[in-house]
Amino acid sequence: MSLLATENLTLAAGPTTLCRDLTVQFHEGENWAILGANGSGKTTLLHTLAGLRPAESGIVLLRQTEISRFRHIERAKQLGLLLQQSETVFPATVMETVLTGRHPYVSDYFWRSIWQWESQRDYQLAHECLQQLQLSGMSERRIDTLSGGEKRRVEIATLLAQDPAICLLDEPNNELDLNFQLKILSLFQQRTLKPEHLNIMVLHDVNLALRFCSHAILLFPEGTARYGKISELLNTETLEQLYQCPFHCLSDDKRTVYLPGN
Amino acid sequence: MANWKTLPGKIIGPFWSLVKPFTMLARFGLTGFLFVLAPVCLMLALSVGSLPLSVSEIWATLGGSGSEVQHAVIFDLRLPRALSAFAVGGLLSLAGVLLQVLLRNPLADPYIMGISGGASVFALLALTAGASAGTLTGSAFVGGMVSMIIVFGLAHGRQAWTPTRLLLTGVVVAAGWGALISFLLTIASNENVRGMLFWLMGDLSHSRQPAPSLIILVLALIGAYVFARALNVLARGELTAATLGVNPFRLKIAIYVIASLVTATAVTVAGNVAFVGLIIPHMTRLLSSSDHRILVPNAVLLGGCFMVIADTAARTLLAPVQLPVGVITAFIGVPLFLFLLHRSRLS
Repeated sequence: MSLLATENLTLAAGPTTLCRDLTVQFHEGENWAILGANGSGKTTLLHTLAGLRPAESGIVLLRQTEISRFRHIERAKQLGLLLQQSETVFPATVMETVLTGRHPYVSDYFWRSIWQWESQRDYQLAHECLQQLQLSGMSERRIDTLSGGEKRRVEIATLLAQDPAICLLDEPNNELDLNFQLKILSLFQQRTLKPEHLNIMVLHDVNLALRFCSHAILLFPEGTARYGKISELLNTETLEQLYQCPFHCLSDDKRTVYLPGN
Repeated sequence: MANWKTLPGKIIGPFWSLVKPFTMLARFGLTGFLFVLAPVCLMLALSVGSLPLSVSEIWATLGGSGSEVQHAVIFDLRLPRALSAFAVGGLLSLAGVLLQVLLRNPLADPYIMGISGGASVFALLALTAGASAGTLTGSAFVGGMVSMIIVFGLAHGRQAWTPTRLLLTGVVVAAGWGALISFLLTIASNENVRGMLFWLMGDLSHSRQPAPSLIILVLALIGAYVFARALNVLARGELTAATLGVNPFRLKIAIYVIASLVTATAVTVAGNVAFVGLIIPHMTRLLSSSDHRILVPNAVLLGGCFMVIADTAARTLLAPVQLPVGVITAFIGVPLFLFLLHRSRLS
């Protein structure tokens, strides 16, 4: 049984078709990478999977039910999305921001939404998430005083506080240093060891995708898509076609690495 | 750097139940202070004026045992006016908070969406036609609603409204109303112009019935408080809000309608009172929190108190000449706000 699935999904941005008749099933324990060039529709696909925009045709199924039939609050408990960028017009503190991740649980019932304060458990969870991202000392800092990478980690902590079974990550590595890139991807990978957990992430780094993902969807420039096990899918030829630039393959007995350029 | 709030959750956990009542107190510290401040402001408004009244005289009159003159001064003049001022301040601040989140723009104020412009044009038309006070009030409210529907319809169009689109539509419609106002002022007869200008600058001297605006203030406050938590999420952006379980479309419509009704009510009672709706929300954020569960009630109370003081100043500073209250709010509000802003930068 698939956690998330698409049936005959067609996506378009203006006059360009991004992908045609995509039918994929995402199962528990899997880590999916969405790879493709700029403007190939990675984010559009991710937002469609999150139920944030209607597909041009076809449907997205969350636990066998069409995703648009979920109430927003129910959907938020199942599925979370890390956006590529965030807005901070009215800067809150780090703690306040992470606590917004608990919104779907705090506003669960109407009576709670009137006396709508987070419980001790919500605070504890938020603290744990901050700890996981090494932000423990910053909970009372204002978001706009943080560095880009720290802000990104706060957003990731917020997603962890939301604790959805399905995490959709749009370039989670944005603004992170190499150490945190590895840490965060392995943190999300470990979540999929729990039953009924799944990650789908947009990545630009093919080698990180190879290392942390089990499956991949490739969005080619001409609007076709291919998907499957990442180890079977990726090779020099496919990558050259995908990114329209030459690739060089290096491998030893431990792993294979692709380098862009000659 | 470490303080008790930054300790890991595991250590905090057991102590949380002990600490929690105090953090709730701290959260609502300003609210408590404002609950004390509000009656003090109202008392001040009742006592100051051409017939100064002491606290004991006010108390006696409110209890029903004052002289006839005192009774008339309090119940016919000062109390309705002070309560209207409180309601208008609260309404404008609430609308400011809501619109700043809706447009995610710190410069948004209740008048930016053209609601006051529509109300003003209709009110000036009523003044030109020599209408009674009741008709004036009614037509101002209708004007506000007309403007609200125009902006909503144009901004919504075929695709969903982005904050920028809504803001631009509002600003342009407001500019259109502004042109109409200038036109009406130009063709108005000399005896009408003074009344018109007072109305445009914001004036409470004709406010005799605070009850409707107070009722609307309470209802709107309850309405806004129900989704105060969702406002925190919406402040992080619409997409984020949608992924966190808020239906952004429904929330935006709710905010828009409440903010419009509230603004139209305030404009109907007092005309265009400058700066309150822009400055009070920011001031409250600087003084307490940007968490809307705290921000919303605090802004309403602070706005109310501020407006009562400003109106008292407006009618007494140059007595017997009455200043439009909008001039006073700008005089007090601008330096106060700049001071707070400056102080918060330093810390």
